[in-house]
Amino acid sequence: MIPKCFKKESLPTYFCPGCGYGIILKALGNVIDRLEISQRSVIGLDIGCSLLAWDLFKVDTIQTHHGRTTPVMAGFKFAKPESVVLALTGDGGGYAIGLQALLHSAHRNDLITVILVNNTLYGMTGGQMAPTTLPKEITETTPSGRNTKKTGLPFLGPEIIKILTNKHAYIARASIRNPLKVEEYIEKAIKNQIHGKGFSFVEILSVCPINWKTDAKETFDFLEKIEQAYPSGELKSNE
Amino acid sequence: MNNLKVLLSGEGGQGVQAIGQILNEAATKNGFESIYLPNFGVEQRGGVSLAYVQISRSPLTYPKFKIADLLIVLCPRSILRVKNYYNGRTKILNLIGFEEKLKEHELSYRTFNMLALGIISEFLPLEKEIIIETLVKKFQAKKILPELVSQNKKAFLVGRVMGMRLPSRTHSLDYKGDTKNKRDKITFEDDKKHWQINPGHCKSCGICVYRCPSKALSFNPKIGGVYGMPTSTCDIKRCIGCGLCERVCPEGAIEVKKKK
Repeated sequence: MIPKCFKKESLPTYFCPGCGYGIILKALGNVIDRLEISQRSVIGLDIGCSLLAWDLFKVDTIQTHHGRTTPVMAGFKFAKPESVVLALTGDGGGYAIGLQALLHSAHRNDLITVILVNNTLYGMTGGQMAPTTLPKEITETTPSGRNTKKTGLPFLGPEIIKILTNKHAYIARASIRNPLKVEEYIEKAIKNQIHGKGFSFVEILSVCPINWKTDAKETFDFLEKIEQAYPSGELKSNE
Repeated sequence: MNNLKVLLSGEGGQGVQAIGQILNEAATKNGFESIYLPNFGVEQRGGVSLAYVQISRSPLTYPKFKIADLLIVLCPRSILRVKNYYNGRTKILNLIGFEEKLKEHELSYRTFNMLALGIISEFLPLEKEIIIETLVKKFQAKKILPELVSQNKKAFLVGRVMGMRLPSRTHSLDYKGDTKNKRDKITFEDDKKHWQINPGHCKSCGICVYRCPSKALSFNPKIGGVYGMPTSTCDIKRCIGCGLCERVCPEGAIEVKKKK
């Protein structure tokens, strides 16, 4: 079922076959429909595959610089406090180039919702290593597998943000294997912002069959490995 | 003829670039100067693919051109894409719908590009034997099954015969259908549930087929999706109407309803 806030003429989307973004954006669209916030919400898009969603919703979108989605949307919220701001970013944008912006936003307890899509690599540029790449995972820049001695262990974003934030924040991690959970967490994160409580952050474990070079079965087998490295669930919830 | 400019356009994956390569090679073997240039873009992910071919007696300097002498259109969407490349003097070959004729000769849909090459060869000063030789060599180098090589050759010969007397509509770009990649929805239903797919949105990723708990879904090679790859189809007897495929489809192409 296609959410009502999708533009019918923009379908099929610009995403690759089997991309996890389709499932995530459908969940986001369902939440926007249910809360009836399509008129007052704004979606900030990072550089990377997230920008391919620029024309998908009947919602205003802003294209920001790489990694700067979080501060731009925080600024938007300061200027228009009645709006609902959503920052959509990837793991490269959020955890590599835009990490300081994300951490400071969490530290300030900005009233924004950040949705970070983690597929363990840089998808749009052809599958290079990201901070979230699993140990021994083969990517374009780690052809013999990620060497954790040289490049460190996978980056646990929500766990770090949990330390920085106060009790009003909402932090969760979900996997696209269970689209209902994705929808539930996104809804809670947006409600946390609407009720004026604090910073809300959802990391979603996603898939990239094109750069992983996998078919449908292998894709979900690899997603299982990612789920083991990044445990799903609500890390901080103030309900 | 001084310089013959040929522009080929079709759906990505239809084999437009293969036609360009064969024409280029055959022209060189015929003693002409020739340049072939593919239009680089994201056509593999859905879009209109262009190939520029020039055949000349004198040396050629630049691979691109603004106005084509011979324009070949293989899919409805490419009509919009090529609108800046022709004028009154351009010879147009509109081959939309010719793929239906492949069925009469028991040829696979994938050989449509060779059928088109056969039709085009009637309008070019190249020797047909040399084109066939190039074609066979090209497909043999790909190490595909020998019967597929002969299928492609047969499609070329069928196209040649067709090219001798083409209906007049092929020389205009009038097309009444929708130039967007729209297709009819396909529905399977029984008294308890209703399963529907929109092939115009299906990207053949296979997630629904893999996730289906009752193994009711499979690929149907007869119906092509966005990229011409097989779309999924439902065995309604095995379907339990859980709606998981609808939920996991990234494009929202599937719709499942339970009847009460």
